[in-house]
Amino acid sequence: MMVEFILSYLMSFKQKNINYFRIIKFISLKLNCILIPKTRFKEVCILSIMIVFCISVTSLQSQEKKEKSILILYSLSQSYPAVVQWDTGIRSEFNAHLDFKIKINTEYLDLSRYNEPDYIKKIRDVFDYKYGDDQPDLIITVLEQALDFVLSHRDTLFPEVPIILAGIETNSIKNRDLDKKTASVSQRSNAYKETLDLALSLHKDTHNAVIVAGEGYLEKMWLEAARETFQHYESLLNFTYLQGLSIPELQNEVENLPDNSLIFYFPVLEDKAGRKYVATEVLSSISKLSSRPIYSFWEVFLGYGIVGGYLENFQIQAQETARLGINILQGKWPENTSRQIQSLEYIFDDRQLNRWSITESKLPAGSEIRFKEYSFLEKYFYRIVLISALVLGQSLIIGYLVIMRRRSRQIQEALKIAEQKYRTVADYTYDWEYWLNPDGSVHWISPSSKRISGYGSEEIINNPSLIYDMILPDDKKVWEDHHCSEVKKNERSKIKYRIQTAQGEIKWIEHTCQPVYDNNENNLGIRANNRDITERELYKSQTSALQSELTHMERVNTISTLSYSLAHEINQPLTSIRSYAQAALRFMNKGRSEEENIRKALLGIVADNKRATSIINQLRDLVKKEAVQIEEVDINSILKEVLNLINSEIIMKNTSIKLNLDPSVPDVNGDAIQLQQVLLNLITNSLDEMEECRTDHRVITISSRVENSTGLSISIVDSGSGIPEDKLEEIFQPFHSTKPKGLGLGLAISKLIIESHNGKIWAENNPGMGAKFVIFLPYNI
Amino acid sequence: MLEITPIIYIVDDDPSVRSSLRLLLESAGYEVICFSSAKEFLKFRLDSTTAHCLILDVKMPDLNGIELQKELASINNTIPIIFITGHGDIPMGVQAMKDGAVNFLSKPFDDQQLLDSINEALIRDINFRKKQSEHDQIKQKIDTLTPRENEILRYLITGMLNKQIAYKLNISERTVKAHRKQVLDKMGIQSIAELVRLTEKLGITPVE
Repeated sequence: MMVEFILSYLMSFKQKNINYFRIIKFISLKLNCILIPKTRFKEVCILSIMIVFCISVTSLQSQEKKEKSILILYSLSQSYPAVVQWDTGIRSEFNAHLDFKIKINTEYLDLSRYNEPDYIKKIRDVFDYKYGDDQPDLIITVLEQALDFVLSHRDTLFPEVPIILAGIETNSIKNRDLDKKTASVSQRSNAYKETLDLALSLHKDTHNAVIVAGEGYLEKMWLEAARETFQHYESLLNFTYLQGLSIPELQNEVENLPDNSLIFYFPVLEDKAGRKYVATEVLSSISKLSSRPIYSFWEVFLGYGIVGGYLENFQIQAQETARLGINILQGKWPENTSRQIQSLEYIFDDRQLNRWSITESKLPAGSEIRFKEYSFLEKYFYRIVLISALVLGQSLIIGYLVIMRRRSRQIQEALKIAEQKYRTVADYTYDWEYWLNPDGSVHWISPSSKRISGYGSEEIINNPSLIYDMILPDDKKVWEDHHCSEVKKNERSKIKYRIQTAQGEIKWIEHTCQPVYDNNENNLGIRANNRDITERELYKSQTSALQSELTHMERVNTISTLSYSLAHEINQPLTSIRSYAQAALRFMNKGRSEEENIRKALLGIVADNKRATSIINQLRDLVKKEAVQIEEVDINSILKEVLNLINSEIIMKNTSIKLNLDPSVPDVNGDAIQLQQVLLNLITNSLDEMEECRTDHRVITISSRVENSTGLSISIVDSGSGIPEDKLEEIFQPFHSTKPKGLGLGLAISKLIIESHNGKIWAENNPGMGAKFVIFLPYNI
Repeated sequence: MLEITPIIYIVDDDPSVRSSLRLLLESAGYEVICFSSAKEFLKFRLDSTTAHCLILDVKMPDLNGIELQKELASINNTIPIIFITGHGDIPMGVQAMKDGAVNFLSKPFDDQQLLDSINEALIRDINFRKKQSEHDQIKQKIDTLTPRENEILRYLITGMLNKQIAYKLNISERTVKAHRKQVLDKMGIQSIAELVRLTEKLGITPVE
């Protein structure tokens, strides 16, 4: 608590003195470190030390608060721009870096104009009067003339006052014996050489150097110093000195200079006639009319018509001087009392560069360019970029929004059109379509429900169970056995049933349903399609009747062509029966002893009678017209039956049959008679096909085998000449016959029969020789 | 009439036809041997000492009845054949009869019809055998003749006089006379007329 209070008290010094504040801050930091072990005793001790310290600091501060006075002696009068620059520079530096009050007295000795011993004596007297009792704390002299005055009167006027000699050439104090309290800020000026070199490098063809200078004491002195440099260039340049001319004369001279000339401006403060001038004004007036660029050596002239040059900057000198003064006032006497500084810089006036078409790239590295007249673009480049960026950004946003708006409008339009389109598609479906929600309610139903079921869509929406109720009782099981909701994704379930419409009409419906899902795999219910297939069913039954008629006809035809051998087939058992009977009669005549033989004969009669019956039955089956009967059929045994039936034909045709039957083939669902018809047809075809062959080459190979888990295959291969490749499919066309006696329907009907069993039949050529007919039959239709 | 029971061979591919015929023929007192195919029959060595005949089905797989008939002829098997057929193919029947078949019966046939045919066949077989044995005897006698005697025999049966033969053969009449005696002696006969009868049976033709 206490510590904080003291600290805040100390903090209040912050505004007054930044150094105190730093000290306090430092101490407070230390304190914080020490205070960590928070013992009250330590706290109290440290606080008392703090308080003592603070009191001493405040007393010190009140001692230093006494005002200091500085006397600045300018060699020239107030009217020189250089003087103004000096004054501003010194004052601003003092004000910026001194935290105690100072009083600055300024004296303008005007020694360029008044140089007489009498004048100097009078000034001395004035100074004695002014500063004899009130000695300043520091004296600063600016430029050489004041230096002489001060040094020659130092002992009498300011014996103890520290003096800074500023704005002087290093050379001018070289041989002087300065006392300990006199410091200097000087610079070695090479402005003349550097500027000259620069000007010559920028204007290659220069042969004339026109030097403009004043006639006054000071001007002469400066020019004299410059001439030492200039004389080294006399072999290169022809120097013309326009010294002491009046403004109109100067203007006249500079107006018509040859192209290979350059002007170098020295301050003109006075002409031959003794007229006084302000140097910058003279420069301005001649610069306007000059036909050639003007260079100079002082920064102070920049902006008044010179191109630029390696310029001496008084402001820098003034700042350096002031800094030295501050140190002296603060009691820090410099170790090096004669300080040399570099106050020269390459500086140019952009307007003049443009006027004389000098490009920036030719200027020395690190040049400073002032008065830059930026083009609109240069001046406002960042603003323009920023604004352009903003405008562009905004335009893009606006454009984007416009496009989005248009797109969204297009999408809306497209949506509307699409909705209209799908609405039309949905509402105009011929089939009765509907979409049930997962809960069984009707999501949507097409108006065609009215046409098909007699119930309007509203009626069904209000009572979805109608969909089930209208199914005929006999067919309800079909509906119950199929479960729309259990149909897998991307699969359909298709069933057929009959409904009774609202008007009592019976209609056949083919119902197809499929579950629907959204993009996230959520079930959206069931989509169903009910098609009225009444007409189709009717047509189908008519067609199937016709087809069965045709099948029968073909069958009868086949039988009739086989009648010869079939007769023989029946004749065989009849022959046996007669022989048995007559043998029995003979045995009977012989007496009782032949009973065994009689029995044998009778048994033979019975057996052969059965054989004849079975052949006749089979024939009758083949010939009779009966509806299709689907039952379990053993393909191998019906195949054998067929072979038995046409055994005579086979023998008569001198053909051998090779059987290659797989006993493990499962039964198939089918109509035995129709399947026999197909086999009969294929085998008799093969028999006929091979009539041209040599008798010992007539072989029919018949195989049955398990094809896959869904069905079996039967192949019938003959050893005939085969079928031309281009006829392999044609032969299944109706009325395609190679036999004069054939109807040309055999294979076409075989194909129909096999297809009605959901199987397939095709012909190919056997790699060895002959034709191969293959039947694929599924186990279940 | 017959001392040994004749054998009736049946070749038919239909087993019930075979067994019914067997029973019928057994009832008639014959011995019956059945074959289910022509090839099977061809493999069988027939008993040449017993009278026999063949009941042959025309329509059979592999080698049919007609083909078997030809095959038998080609190996000089003279067994009499009765064809039975399910369908009366007349041209086929005519051809079979021409080739020496005893009968051509259409199924079904009456027992008597079959038995008559068998009887006829057996008689033919017996006669053939008889003729065959006579031939064999003559043949044996002729085989004892020398080649010169054989030549003379073919001149003798022309009815030429010895003188004519001698002239033809450019030999003496006496030599012809000696050969003539030798031939008649070896053949066990006395007259040229008898010689002509015997050589006719064997089909030996006189010199032109």
